[in-house]
Amino acid sequence: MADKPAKPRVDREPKKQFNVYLPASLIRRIKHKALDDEIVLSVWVQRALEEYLDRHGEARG
Amino acid sequence: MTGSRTDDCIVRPLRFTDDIPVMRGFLELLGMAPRVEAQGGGWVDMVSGAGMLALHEAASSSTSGRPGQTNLSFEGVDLDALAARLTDAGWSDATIWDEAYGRVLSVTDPSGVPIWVDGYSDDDYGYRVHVPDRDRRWSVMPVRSTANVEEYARFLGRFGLPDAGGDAPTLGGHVGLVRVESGPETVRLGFATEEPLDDVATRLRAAGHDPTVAGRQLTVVDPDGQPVVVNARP
Repeated sequence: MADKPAKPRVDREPKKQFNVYLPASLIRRIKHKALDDEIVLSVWVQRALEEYLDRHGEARG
Repeated sequence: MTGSRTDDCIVRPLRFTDDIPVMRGFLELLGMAPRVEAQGGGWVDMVSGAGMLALHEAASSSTSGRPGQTNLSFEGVDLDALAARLTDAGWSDATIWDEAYGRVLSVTDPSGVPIWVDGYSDDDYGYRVHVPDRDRRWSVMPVRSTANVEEYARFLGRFGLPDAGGDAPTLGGHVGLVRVESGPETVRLGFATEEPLDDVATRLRAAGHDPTVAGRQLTVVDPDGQPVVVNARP
């Protein structure tokens, strides 16, 4: 698999659990895509969220 | 909340290997049959009459598993109940999270080693599912050696593994067995069988292995170079 270069600042940080509620169908799509991509689910979600922030900008504060 | 079921967890040691097909063929000589395998390779789990065993490609391990390394692990029905039982008994770091293939529970064992329990999932996406014939004569019986046998047995009791008797602390039953021994901290693959050991030895030799039988125990080196013990069971 071709790993996207991760932000070193984030990868050095200790990991914490982040529980959210999502539609069951979306959870299923995410898990299937992570399996297709052969990427650990936490890493897949981390990349998706980083990509969103990269596209839409960071919080103001 | 404390779960009371005794069949929540199935014994399923995890072996990291650099040659899944060869290890799979070896385990088939010891009464195991594949149940689920990743379509892209890299993972297969196999069933015995009691208990299971999972093979994971070492090169793709996210936990840096080394070829020949065996981890004690389980499959579980109700991870929330198990986490509650562990927490009640003082193993308070039991944590559950989602992986792409299902939910996982992790807890640190009395020796400081993480133990993973994979939850059951009804979503087989990405996996090939077999309907294996279980050889009821065989049981998976990994051997966990530890400096504190009594504490480890108490820990395994929280997984719903009762004392199954035997000449060393052995826990489990129809869900597989775990033998706990004193000594250096290791996990080895092992089995118990009602099949005559001489028959097992003959089958192994025909496949090119070099087993030795001494009394009620057969020993053979597996393709990963690790010793495997098969105990005769009356």
